[in-house]
Amino acid sequence: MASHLNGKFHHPRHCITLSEIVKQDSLTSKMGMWLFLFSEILLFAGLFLLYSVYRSYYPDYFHTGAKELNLYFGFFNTVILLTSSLTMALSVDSFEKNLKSTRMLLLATIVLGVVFLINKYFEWSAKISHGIYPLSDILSNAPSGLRIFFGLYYAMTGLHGLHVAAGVILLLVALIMLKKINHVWIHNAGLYWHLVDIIWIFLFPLFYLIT
Amino acid sequence: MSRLFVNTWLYLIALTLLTVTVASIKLGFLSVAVALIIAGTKASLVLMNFMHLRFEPKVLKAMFLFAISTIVIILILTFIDTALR
Repeated sequence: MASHLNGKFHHPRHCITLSEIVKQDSLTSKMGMWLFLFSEILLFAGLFLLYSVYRSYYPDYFHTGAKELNLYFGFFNTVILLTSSLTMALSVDSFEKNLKSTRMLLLATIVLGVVFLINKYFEWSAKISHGIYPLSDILSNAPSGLRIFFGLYYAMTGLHGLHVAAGVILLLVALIMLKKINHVWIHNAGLYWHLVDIIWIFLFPLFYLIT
Repeated sequence: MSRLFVNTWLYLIALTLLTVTVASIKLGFLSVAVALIIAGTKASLVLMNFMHLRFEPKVLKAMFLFAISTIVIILILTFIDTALR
């Protein structure tokens, strides 16, 4: 049946075969996902723009602020997210070949995402216990350059953290419905996860490596 | 495929170590440029390999280029604006 529908023999040139329709459909689904990702990139680009302009206004305070951040947290979280992107890519790749390894790799990605968030929790807790958070006594009396640095730090890593949390939920849904979803579904979920990784790739040097 | 992904991951980790090492060297203004070039390289690796962009049809690649160019133009114009104020 499939070979008949895929066959070139029974169809005049202007006819679209079923496999072509499926191909078109998966392309448009991917396009929709990419359009959404562009809007996400634009969202973060706005924040990066704010960061860049304020950093050029207050370079010294940005350096002082960055010294307060823990490089090890930043570095390990980078490694964790990069590794989770690898497991995600491998998971998507194995989807139509070996569903069991897809499930295991998806689970690994979710676990790594959760570990990232736990690290973030400890990192933020340490900052907050030192009295460094928006509107705290220390920051309220600090120079505006420092206030802006930590405001951007909390806003940008916080928004990114929310995206990681959303990604974890999305991948959990994929894991639960793994037998019902198709290749494009998991591919698009993977695209989202990789985008979150890319945003962190830029956040890491801009906040942790400017001392 | 899995080989490509594992190699991509190795490059990404190597570039992360590189960017941490380079950051400890005092390069002044250049250090920002170097950090952004390394981050850009890492992002391209993820886009091309993990996100399959290199295997996608031209129309998707064009869409991506269009979106990124728009953002880069906005960034450059704003930098010019704030620098000359």
